[in-house]
Amino acid sequence: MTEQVWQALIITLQLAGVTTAILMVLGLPLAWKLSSMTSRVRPALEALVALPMVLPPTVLGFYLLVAFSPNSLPGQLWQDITGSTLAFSFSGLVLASVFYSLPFVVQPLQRAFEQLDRGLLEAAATLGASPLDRFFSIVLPQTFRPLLLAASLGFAHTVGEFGVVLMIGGNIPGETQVLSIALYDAVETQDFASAHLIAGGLIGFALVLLTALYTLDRRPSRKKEAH
Amino acid sequence: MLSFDIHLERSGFTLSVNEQLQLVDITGIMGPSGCGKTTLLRCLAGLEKIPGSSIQFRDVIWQRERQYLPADQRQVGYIFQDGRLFPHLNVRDNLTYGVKRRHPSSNHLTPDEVIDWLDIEALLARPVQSLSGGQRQRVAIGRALLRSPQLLMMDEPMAALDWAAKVRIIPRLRELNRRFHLPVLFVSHDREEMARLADDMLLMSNGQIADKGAVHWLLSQAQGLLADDHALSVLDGTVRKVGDYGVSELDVDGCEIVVDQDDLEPGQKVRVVVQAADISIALDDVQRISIQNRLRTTLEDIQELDDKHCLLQLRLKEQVLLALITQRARHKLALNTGMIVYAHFKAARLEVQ
Repeated sequence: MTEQVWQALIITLQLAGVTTAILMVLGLPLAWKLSSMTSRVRPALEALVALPMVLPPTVLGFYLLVAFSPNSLPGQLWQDITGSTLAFSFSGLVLASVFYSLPFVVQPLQRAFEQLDRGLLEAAATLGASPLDRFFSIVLPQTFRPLLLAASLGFAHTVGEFGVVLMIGGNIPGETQVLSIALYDAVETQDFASAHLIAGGLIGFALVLLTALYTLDRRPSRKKEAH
Repeated sequence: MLSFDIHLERSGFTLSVNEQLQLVDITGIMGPSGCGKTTLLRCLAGLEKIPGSSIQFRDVIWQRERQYLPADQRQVGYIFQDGRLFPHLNVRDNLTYGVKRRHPSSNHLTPDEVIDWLDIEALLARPVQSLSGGQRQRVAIGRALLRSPQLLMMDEPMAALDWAAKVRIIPRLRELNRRFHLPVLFVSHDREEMARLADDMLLMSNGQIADKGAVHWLLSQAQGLLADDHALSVLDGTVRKVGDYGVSELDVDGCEIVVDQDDLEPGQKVRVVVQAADISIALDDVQRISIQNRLRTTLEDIQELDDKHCLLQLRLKEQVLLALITQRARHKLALNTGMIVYAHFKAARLEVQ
């Protein structure tokens, strides 16, 4: 059983890592766009992004399962391209996690971008910096902490997901079985030693991560130190 | 040469300007707050979206119909009212931000040259949050200069500074234009700053250009838009003699003006700003009087400002001086245009060009 726990741990870390990486790539431009949007579409888009926060994960899981089916267009396309099905695969898990954890990455980024002094970007523009250059030389250094916070939240939230994974990932040890599912399994089979290991470990992980985040959030920035 | 034809509608405000500027020296854009002067400058720098307008700088089209050159490609330096130094970079990195990004063909000012000129060597390693207002603006000027711009735009660069800091920075801004052969567009609501800094001027009101011309001329018109009880005039002079009693003698249109300053060089061209309210008028050539500045002038024009005050336009030979006096004094002296009057004023505040 311990071997199964280790496998689940590795899959969980892989899933959370890949999902976070994708979310940062998608979330940065999306959050930037949302933060500078003035159109009336904005609340609708914000609602769409926030949806996974309020829905039962099983709702999202259900629709994803439907979409992943080889009878549906997305599932069909995936099968044509990769030759495998999305449902009950690691790729499917990643895709589901991206949807599921999106608000946890996008929202802190959007807040950070909204608070950013746009005047600095104008100054950078008049100094010859292109939009992409401005993003890397001004926006990123100015929003480094919220960025870290967003990535951590995305990671932690993916580690903690259960409902969606159960719906679309199934429970294939060594392939799609993540820690939260392994815990459920362990309890079902009355393997309390493994259950304690996983549950205790997850609590420890969450505590350490959150403490680190709040410490980071407390520490005065260079900006405030100078005064 | 900068020509522009700009139309911009914002809630309750319309900017509509069509103008050609020679842009040799320092061109001031002046007007009350809300008149659109900052918006105009931002449009010119490429910081506002203005479809349908056109802007051309020298032979480069900055904007025409759908064509639009973004701000980062216009090769302008822009100094913002609030400095806008990057808080995550220290002074040195702020200064060199534009160096890495400047156009390869631009004239190259070296950081050392600019740092030395602005006297900010000691600040280089400091975080920008620790700088005073004057220091921040000096760094902002240096940063804009090191981008090697072909045109420098300044939006109320001295608004956040106290008078002492202003007096220190004005000569640098004037020198900047000369020394780096850099045309300057300068926005301010303050006529004192205009008088000290600008050569030519656009006067804006309600989103339109109300008047334009040389600063000396535009500021010193008794009938002009700036004829009020804060009126002042600008006189050009040459330093004749320096040092006795810590004062200097200037030659202004053949008349002698004494200024309370001894750090000048004989032969130096200077600009004197005289407040209209500082001038008193005598009909006789009073010789024995403590006031040292006594100019023989012709009364050219009288403008009634209100029940109490009127503004006199006095001509030397070439140049013009405004004096603010009371209606009571005017009637007691029976002043009329064409009369010879003597303008008296104490040590003028002086601006060296």
